[in-house]
Amino acid sequence: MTEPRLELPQGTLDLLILKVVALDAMHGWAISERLQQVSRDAIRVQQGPLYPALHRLERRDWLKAKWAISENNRRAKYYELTPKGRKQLAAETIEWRKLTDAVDHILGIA
Amino acid sequence: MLNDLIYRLRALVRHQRVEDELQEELQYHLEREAEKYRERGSSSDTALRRARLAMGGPEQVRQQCREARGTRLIEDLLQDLYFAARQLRKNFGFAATAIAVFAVGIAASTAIYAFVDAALVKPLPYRDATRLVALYERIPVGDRYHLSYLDYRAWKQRNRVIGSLDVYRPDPVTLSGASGAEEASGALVSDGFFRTLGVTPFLGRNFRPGEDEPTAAQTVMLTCGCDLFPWYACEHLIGRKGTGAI
Repeated sequence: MTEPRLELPQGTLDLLILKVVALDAMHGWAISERLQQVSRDAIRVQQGPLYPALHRLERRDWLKAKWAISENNRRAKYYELTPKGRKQLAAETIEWRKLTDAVDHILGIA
Repeated sequence: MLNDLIYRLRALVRHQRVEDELQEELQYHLEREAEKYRERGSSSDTALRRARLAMGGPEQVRQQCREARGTRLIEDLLQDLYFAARQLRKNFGFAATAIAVFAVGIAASTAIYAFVDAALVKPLPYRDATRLVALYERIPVGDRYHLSYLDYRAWKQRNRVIGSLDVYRPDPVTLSGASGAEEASGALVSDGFFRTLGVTPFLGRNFRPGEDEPTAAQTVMLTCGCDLFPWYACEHLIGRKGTGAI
């Protein structure tokens, strides 16, 4: 908690959302909690960027939304990965690895 | 692509439903966030306040979600149109006046354009319309004066600029028939007039050279296919002698 939180580079949030949702259909709040948990609190996504991103991904047909009853017995909007989204996740993961490898490489030289 | 279209269409057509869903979704987030703080021992009020704080401006989030839908432009436009319609209904007199003024303005400019289009923009319906010019004589009395017959002869003989020169004088004529007398627009023309314009008669013949001499028999060409002389009536008139007050 004391460590300053990381600023997500542009476009990274989409990738993280796709990854988290790949395992299981989730609602928005659970996605933000999961990101925070998995990143050991380094990444905390606010509603501000999260919901617009979810809606954008839904529009692109990478996510599919459906209303369902949540674990605490309330109606919540669940997002799950579409086949198209799965392809996108794979492609973006490769891109991300390439980018970070290249950056690592450059940093290693200098 | 298709999905995108359907998504946007739904956002537009079922606007209220989509807005309600967004509201419910964000509300759910807020409640879960508050619950989390309560579980960690905050009082109910503090938990809700902290959750609100973590969430940021709710209206801002909603606005960004609307933008993500990709229908913002149309939604704003519709809203503006509704607003404008409401305003106009409220000030009915003003609206009626404004609409009337618009109608008159549009009608006037359309009429003027139609005139300018016919007179200046569209080419004249003659062969080599770009080579046609109108000549006038300028005399001390005014700029555009009619030509005397002798001047016409002199111009025709001596000019080296104009390929072929002919004259006309508008001259309304009275046509008398079985159904009574009618006035028709007509003109006296020199013998080469229609050749200069590149007009050939649909039926019958053109004026022969010399047919504009005072001694020659008076010959007419009629505009066919108009109300006065439907084309089927014209055929019977060819070569016939008629009388008319000219």
